[in-house]
Amino acid sequence: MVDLSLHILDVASNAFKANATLVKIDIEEKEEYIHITIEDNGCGMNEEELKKVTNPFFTSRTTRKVGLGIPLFKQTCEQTGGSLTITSEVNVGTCIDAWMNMHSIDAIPLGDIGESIFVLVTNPYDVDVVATIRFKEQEKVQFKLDTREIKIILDGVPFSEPTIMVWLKEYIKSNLS
Amino acid sequence: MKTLEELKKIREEAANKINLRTAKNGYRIVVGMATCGITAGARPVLAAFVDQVAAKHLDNVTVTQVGCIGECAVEPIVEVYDTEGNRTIYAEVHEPDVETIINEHIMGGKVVIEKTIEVIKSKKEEVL
Repeated sequence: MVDLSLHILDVASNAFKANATLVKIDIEEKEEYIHITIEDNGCGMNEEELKKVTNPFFTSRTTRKVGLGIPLFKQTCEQTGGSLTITSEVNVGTCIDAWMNMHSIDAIPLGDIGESIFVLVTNPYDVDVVATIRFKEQEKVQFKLDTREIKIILDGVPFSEPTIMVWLKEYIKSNLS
Repeated sequence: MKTLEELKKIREEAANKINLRTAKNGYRIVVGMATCGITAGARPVLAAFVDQVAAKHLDNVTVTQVGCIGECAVEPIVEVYDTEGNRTIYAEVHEPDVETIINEHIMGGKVVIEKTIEVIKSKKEEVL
């Protein structure tokens, strides 16, 4: 993956397959580090699965035999001296806690986080998404988006409507810049 | 900066359009968005389809995402379903291909043969 936003999109998408109804993404950007938490209320994993989840040759999928999402993200964090830890409880949910040291030569940029949030928000699985970003620039307003608030406004009009989709895309972009 | 206030207006317009629309469903465009797709560049492809569909006012076309269909080597993969449910699978779809697929297939009803998974995979086999 070339940037963190792709890892975030990839790993947060795991919530869709875990029958979650909500996934919360929190990004804290500092000069020295980026701290990312991705938390869902899905089916969770038992101890045995949790042990295997960082192994690239483990996946719950049937379409292929490898599962690279979490191992790749873990490697990205660890190569900077950071870390990725997972806590999970069956029928409660899963939480990914990732740290990346931004002063490391192996650190990768955050990337187009807006486009990742857009893709997550418009997921066809009706999973709600809450995304918060606290930027390193003091003057920049914190970004917050909660699809549950948007759904109230939309009052039955689906996210998949082309005009709604484009509006959401532009809304996210304009609130991030 | 865009605000949620604006969304209320957009919502009314969208709701009116849904009411006017005929029951007939249009094309469904599905972009593979698992680890394999994301790494190969599926995210900007999905965003480009969304932009094109809105810019060309293709109101009865939906753009959505799906996981991995097991063809990781030729991602990004885009599936197009027509009104009868017939599926065309496109492979190695990148941003410049999006407009071609929209113009020729979605608007013109003609499959873009050279980007279909069958053609892409057979070309790879020739090289090997």
